[in-house]
Amino acid sequence: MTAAQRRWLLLAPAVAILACVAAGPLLVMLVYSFLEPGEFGGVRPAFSLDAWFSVLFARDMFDPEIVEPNIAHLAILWRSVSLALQTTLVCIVLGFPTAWFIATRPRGTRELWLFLVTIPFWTNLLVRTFAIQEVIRNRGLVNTLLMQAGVIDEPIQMLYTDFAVLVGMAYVFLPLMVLPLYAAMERVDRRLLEAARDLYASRWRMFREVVLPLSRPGLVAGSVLVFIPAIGAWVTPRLLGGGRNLMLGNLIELQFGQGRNWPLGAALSMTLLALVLVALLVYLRAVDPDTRRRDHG
Amino acid sequence: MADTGRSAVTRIPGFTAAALLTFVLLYVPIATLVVYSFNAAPSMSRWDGFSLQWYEAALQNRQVREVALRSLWLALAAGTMATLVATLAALATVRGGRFRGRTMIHALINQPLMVPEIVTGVALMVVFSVVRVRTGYDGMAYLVLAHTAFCIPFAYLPVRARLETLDPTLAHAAADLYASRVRAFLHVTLPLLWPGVLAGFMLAFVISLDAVVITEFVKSAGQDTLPTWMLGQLRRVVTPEMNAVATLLLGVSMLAVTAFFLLSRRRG
Amino acid sequence: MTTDTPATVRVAGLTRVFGDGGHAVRALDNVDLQVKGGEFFTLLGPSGCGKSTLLRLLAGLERPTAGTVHIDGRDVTALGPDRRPVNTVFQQYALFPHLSVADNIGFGLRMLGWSRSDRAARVYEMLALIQLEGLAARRPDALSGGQQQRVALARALAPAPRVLLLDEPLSALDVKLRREMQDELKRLQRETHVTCVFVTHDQDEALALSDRVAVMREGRICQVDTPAGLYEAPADAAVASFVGDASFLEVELLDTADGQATVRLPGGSVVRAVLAAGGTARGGDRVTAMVRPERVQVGAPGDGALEATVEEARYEGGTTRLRLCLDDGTTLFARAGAAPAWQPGARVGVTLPDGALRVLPA
Ligand SMILES: Nc1ncnc2c1ncn2[C@@H]1O[C@H](COP(=O)(O)OP(=O)(O)OP(=O)(O)O)[C@@H](O)[C@H]1O
Ligand SMILES: [Mg+2]
Repeated sequence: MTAAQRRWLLLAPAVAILACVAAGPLLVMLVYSFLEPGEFGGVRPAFSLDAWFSVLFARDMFDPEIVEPNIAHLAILWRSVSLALQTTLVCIVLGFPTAWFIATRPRGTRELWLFLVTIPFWTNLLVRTFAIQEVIRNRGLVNTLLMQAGVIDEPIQMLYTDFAVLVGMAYVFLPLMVLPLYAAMERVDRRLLEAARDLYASRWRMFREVVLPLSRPGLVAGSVLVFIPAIGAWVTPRLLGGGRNLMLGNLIELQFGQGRNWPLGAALSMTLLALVLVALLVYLRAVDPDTRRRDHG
Repeated sequence: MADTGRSAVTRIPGFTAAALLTFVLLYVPIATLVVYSFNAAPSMSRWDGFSLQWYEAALQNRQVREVALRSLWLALAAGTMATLVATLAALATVRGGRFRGRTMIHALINQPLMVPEIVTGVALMVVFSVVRVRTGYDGMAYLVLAHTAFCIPFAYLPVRARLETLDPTLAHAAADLYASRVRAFLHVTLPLLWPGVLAGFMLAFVISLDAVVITEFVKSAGQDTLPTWMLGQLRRVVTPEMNAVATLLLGVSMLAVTAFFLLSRRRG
Repeated sequence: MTTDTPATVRVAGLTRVFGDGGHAVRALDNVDLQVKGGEFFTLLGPSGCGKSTLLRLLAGLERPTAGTVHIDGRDVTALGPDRRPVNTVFQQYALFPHLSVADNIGFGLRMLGWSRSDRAARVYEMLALIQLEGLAARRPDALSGGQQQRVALARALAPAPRVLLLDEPLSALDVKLRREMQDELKRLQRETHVTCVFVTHDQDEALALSDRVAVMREGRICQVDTPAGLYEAPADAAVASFVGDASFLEVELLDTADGQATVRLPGGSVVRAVLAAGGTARGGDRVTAMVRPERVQVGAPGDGALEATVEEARYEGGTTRLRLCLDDGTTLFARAGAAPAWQPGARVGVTLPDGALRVLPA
């Protein structure tokens, strides 16, 4: 047996499983997005661009010649992108000081703090989402405390709003921001900070001029790592957003259920995948050293 | 970067407070959950003293027992298969230098990490629905297969990391001492690789235990796992029993993750 | 440099203790120090003696446990590093990797709020000073060690600090480059007249560059003097052995009179020696005396007051460094002409002329 043969023999099980259960089904979806919907779900084997068309557009009910933007889809797309971006922003705001705090602990205790950040991350997603429900529901922790303190008389409706989705996603994805940020910050030489302070930078200027630019790779990586699962979120909007606050993932599900429009669901899936790929490209561009050098020069 | 005194150069105004607040925010929801699982009262608005009644209720609930068991053995099966397959793949990609198609292989292995779960979920549902009709088989194999594929990248990571730190000359040295290739692997490489393999399994196990989206779309009737059962329950009015179930699940995840950390920190 | 010029740097009772309880380290212990304007002042001492700590206290990067720091007569003890008119050249340069050479040099000016055009002019001036005009747009990681060193110097000099602090700035360079940079450093200081506080544990470097040197040991300052003063008149055995080669002999003090002493050598002969200040020894005491190698005269056996055996001879080009063993077992270093080829094992006669020995305080 040659080395190459042995290598492919070792790879064969992984390749077989992934080809059948990961890559293959994606290709099937791509194909389905170009077919016509079947009457009771499924597809009819006829080529059609209708699904892709209706991702963004709709035809007038009475005059099919009139093409207008598909308001409902656009609203959901917008909500998905906007909520994913807001989640990323919240994670940056909370994650940056947290990562810095951990990176500046004495060597022995750093791992413990890191561990504390990662524990919620490895906790079951449903458990965490349920925990958020418990905190923000009408008879939950926040409302109970506020009412007992006399700040409010009626509970504030937080559950089943976009706000709840934002809180839930930020809570769930925060560790994905902290870990890469920490990895970048840990490498920042503290003498650079001293040099900045010595050259008349206040602590804030030191942060802006030295810490921030040197943490940039981690910031970009963290943002992409948060944005990708956030834009594809399905569980969080379903449990915290209630029925009305759909995101792209829920819209996709709908097409395979009540909507009975598999091609549209497939086209929407591909759209979501495209958004993820865009985020990945942004990431690759941002961490590519050549591009970075040009930016600063 | 050490030295954390007030004048430490690493101090940035407000950062420590923000960080500590973040830790509080991270743990308040989990702590609430755990604390109220021991509450005698059925509501959060009051504390009626310590009680294990919700745990009793949860453990006596046939449905909970059933879905929990199914989750466990699914995670065991998928975790084992994913670890086995990922270990073989890691041996092929790390040893023996670059080869044609390596980038493709890496993309394939990491695909479940990059593709949104909902997309993988509906894609699998579509494909499996065809297979179901054609074969008439409707058992657990679909779930095992789907979870295995989903867990492969997670099992692959620690194994590969471990393998990269191993000195390949060790296996060569063994071969030099007349060990056959298989014996060299069994007696030299595998024992050194073992912590990585175990860590990979732990990770895969937790990921499978956690997987809800894919499971929801792949399962057929009567194949609920703990997460999909919770998903169904959480949309209705929840009883404090759910606190107990969630706390138990939390405990299992914590154990597995702690084991993972201890394993991956162990040096060769 | 007259004594009545006001000190540019004045340090009083400066103490820094790291840690607490049983693990406390007294890195700096009640140090007093004055550095005059335009002076090149060096802190010299073995590793861990507190040189960097003292420098960082001057820069404001460290806060003292006790004591005060005045710069130009102003108490800056409570001020952070961004509020002190001093700049530091760091040991590994600490150039900002994300900024170009020009932006590194202009960093301090930008923080001080200089306008873009003023900054550009000043940066160009500094680039000319360090003769790196062509490299303004380079990144630090694309520079050689010597070039990085010069950029670090220019960056610290650009805001025209009252005091330039240098923490072993040359230690990362190889020997040849180090020599060049020493000259360069002297030239820069002559041209800018900036007061320098320089840290090194290399005594040759300290003697070659400094106007005055403070020798430190275990968090304290043992002696402050000019290089010649340190070499000729070390205050104690520690300073003597740290600055240049020195040999020590046990002698018997016979008599003392205004800075002069008469001592009896181990062989019995009597010579005149210099008496260091601060000693309390009186006639009849056993005391330690120090002698520099070039003051030791080596001749044929029987040709001096002491007899010795050559243990090691190292040819150093022009001179030979000899390690001698006196008959009572004391080791003595001598620097002799190259002419007779000294062989280990040879017997020699040793003469210590009047004034060559220096009696040190116990
Ligand atoms: N941040 C700190 N925490 C604890 N101890 C410290 C700290 N900084 C310095 N020390 C201790 O203070 C003493 C003096 O250190 P310092 O760095 O000033 O020595 P140095 O003379 O510069 O030595 P070197 O020539 O090796 O640079 C040492 O014993 C050192 O271990
Ligand atoms: Mg030092």
